[in-house]
Amino acid sequence: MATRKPALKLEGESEQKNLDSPKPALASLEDWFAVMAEKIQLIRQGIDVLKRNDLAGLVEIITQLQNLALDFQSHLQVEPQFLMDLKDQAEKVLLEEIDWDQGYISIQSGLTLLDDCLLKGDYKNLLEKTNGKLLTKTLKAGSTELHASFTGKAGVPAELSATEPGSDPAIPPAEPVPLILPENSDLNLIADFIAEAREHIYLSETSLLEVEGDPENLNPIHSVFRAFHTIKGTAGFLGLTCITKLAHAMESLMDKARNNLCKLGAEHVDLLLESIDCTKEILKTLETKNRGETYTIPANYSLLLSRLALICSGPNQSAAKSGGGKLGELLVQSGGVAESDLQKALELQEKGDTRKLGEILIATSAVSSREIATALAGQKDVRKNPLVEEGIRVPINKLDQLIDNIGEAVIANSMVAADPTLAQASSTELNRKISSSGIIMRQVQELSMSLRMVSIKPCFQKMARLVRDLSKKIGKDVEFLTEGENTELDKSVVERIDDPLMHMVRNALDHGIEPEVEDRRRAGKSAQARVCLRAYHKSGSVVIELEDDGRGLNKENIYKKALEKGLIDERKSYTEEEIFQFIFLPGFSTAEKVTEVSGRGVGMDVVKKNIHALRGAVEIRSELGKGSCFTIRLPLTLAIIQGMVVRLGRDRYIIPTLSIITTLLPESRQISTVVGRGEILNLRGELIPLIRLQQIFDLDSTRQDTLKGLGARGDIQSPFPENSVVLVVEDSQGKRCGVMVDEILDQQQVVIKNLGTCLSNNPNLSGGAIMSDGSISLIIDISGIIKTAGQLDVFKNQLKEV
Amino acid sequence: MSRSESGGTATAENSVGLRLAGKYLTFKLAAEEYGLEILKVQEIIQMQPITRVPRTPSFVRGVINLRGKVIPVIDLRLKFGIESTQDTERTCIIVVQIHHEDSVLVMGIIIDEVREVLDIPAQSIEEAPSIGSQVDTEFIMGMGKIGSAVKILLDIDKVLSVKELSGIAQASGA
Repeated sequence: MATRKPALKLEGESEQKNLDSPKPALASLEDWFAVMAEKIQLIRQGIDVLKRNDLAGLVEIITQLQNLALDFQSHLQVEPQFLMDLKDQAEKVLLEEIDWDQGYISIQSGLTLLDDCLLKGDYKNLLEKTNGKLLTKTLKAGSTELHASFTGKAGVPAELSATEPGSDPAIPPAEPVPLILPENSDLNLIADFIAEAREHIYLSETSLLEVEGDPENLNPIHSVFRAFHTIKGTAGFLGLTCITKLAHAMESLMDKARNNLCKLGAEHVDLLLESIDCTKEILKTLETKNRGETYTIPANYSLLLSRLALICSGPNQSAAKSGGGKLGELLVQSGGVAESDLQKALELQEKGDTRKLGEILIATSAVSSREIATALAGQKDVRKNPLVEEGIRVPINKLDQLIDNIGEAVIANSMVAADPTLAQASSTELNRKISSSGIIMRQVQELSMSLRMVSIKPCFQKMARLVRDLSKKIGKDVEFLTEGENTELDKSVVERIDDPLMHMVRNALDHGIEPEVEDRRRAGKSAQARVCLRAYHKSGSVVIELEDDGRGLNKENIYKKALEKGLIDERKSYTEEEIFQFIFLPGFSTAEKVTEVSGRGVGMDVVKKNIHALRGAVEIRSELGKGSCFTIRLPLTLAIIQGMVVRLGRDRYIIPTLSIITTLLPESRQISTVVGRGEILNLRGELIPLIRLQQIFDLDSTRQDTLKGLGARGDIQSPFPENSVVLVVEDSQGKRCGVMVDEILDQQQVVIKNLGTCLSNNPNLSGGAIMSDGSISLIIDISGIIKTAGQLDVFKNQLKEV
Repeated sequence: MSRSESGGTATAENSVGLRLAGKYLTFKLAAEEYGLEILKVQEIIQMQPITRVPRTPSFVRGVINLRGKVIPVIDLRLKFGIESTQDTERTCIIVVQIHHEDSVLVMGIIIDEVREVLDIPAQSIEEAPSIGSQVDTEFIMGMGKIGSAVKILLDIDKVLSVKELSGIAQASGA
């Protein structure tokens, strides 16, 4: 800022020719550029929030542009033709010479470009640009192509002068497949962009589906347009040219749609959704890339671009307008002008009067200018503010830290409350204070737990998309309904429920619903099948139901198939519910033929495994010919489990209640020892292996006793310790096992804590829980224990054989 | 930073000293005194009930609750192969931050007694002797001579290598 030289206006002409040697020292230039960049940013923000037809705001922006231009002029001694043109553009918008949106786009992209140069410190380029005759030309063309040439090249402005303006957008640029992430790109910014873009993409997906359902509704079209516009802007700023181009192409199509120049049909939505998928793909690739690394774009990228361009350049099919309408019609409707006057004016126009209809009407004094203005306002759809809840983005680890600390505060608080000195104290006042602080602590804790809760909506939205694509592919007419999509559950659960749900939806569509409409008719059902996905809270857990009105599950077929594949025991009898559960067995598939969609028999067992991993359960209800209903029951959060606190020697452990089938105090005759195989428990005729946790955990090692209490030594060798409790547990595969512990102490909800990098790969433990006294109890992983026990037996057998 | 402006000859053989000079938290373990780089120390807490974790190496005493976080605690005596003793009221846990790949892990180490924080200048630091130590020299960055006493400067990242902790846990699990 120091060397601001007086503007030499007289020498202006000659200065321009001397572009390569800017007068001020570079160091101060840099400062100045930073200041300018800030100013441009401000203007851009101003434009971003500018509402349609907010003329006062527009004037404000024009003034700002003017000031900026003056600033450039006085500092660089270059006439900033470029900025002046931008200003002109804005003025034209004001004068309604060009369309609001068009002007909006070209000003925005012009500023983006300028901003880009400033940030990169690309001075030479900037100087050329501010003075650039070429840009001036293109700007004057005032078309969207300008905008294409702009933003498309924003990342590589140096090439700008050579290529494009106005070239056929239908020709896809020959894209080199591996792209390079610019050396100077800010990885943090890119990460932010990816997160932001994902949100926009998600929103636009939702909106696109809405558009498909109701093409007349302009709101979703606007929101998709805005989403792509934002993505395009930011991507251009970051030099991610490939995304810019794609977003631009999509935006152009949406632009046509919202200006009623083309009606969005199923094929448009298809194309847009495909493009969205492509963008997602690119984002995913970018996520892992570093500066200067190469990345590739999906193979269908150029094809999508050209298809979009093709649709865009197609003839304008004016859609039947529901709102808007012609100015004349509107005026007649509002009674501001008589039909005859309008006719006269229109005739005048046809005869070659180049004035606008409104002007003619005013001139012929058929109507007041005020009435024209109101009608004009009605002609344009008012851009509505999206309903966005205000919020801030917080990194998840910060949130977890907060939750941790609050949990600790609750424990500390209860420890104070339980302190014996307090019990002796006679002050009721003190007790009252402590109990009230306890209540507040609990409230804070509840609130903190709810912070991690997110709505299941994105997941449902994904399913809607899946049903849409799939039903088209397999040629079934399916109506997809969702209920309770605002049901909240833990973020980590929402993230991991996608996969299993996807499998189930696929199955419902492919196997559940009758392939022929005739079949449905005969069964007395409507031709259009119905799949319903609903979510709700029930007794402390979240229930997700997937219901279809298809064929239902055939009990006999399932039983036969399972038997055929040797998955079940012939001699046993099974209940209906048990038979339905066979479909979750690995390698089970009743579909006669394997289709592209499903039927390979790998789906359902994965579904069950995934849901088990989330500590959930699946139930099936089904009636042959009527339909089926899959019910997934999930815990509200993965952070809390219901656990049985047991004692093992002097240690306390927690066994998840979910895996416990029953508990019993076995009599010694129920237990028999199989040589070299360990002990077996006879549970009402069923023989299940018995695990002594002490043995698994190797707790009789010569470890120093640091705590008071009894050591566990010696117990192991005894035939069967008296009063031991056996918990019969089941792992996710349904393998049962008896686990022997010394005592059951309690049942309570505990918060699971990770044991940390060094101990978390212990297969027998799933984590630790902080108990009410502040100490830690370890949570036993039942599947791990059963596996370890198996390995121990094998080990023993091997010893025997040696 | 504060690396030895207190004079001393910055000769080639004393490069170890220059590298290692700085503040150390010294503590006692059995008969020896050790030093820990002060930047690695997060806090010192008193002894508290430790939940032992099955199937871990014997020197892993267990886990404790550090303000809502579960952290492992290592018995440094057992780790160094020194005979363990009964805990005293001076026994305490130094919570250290060790670097593992890109992340920082928090762990506790049980030691006999915390002594002081010492600023050890470059000329007082010597390279670790290659023989005649009770302790595996890989853990030792150097030796600090304060008067007639010698402090063993520990490389805590090496003492508590994650590989060892988890590796053994896995081996015993298999």
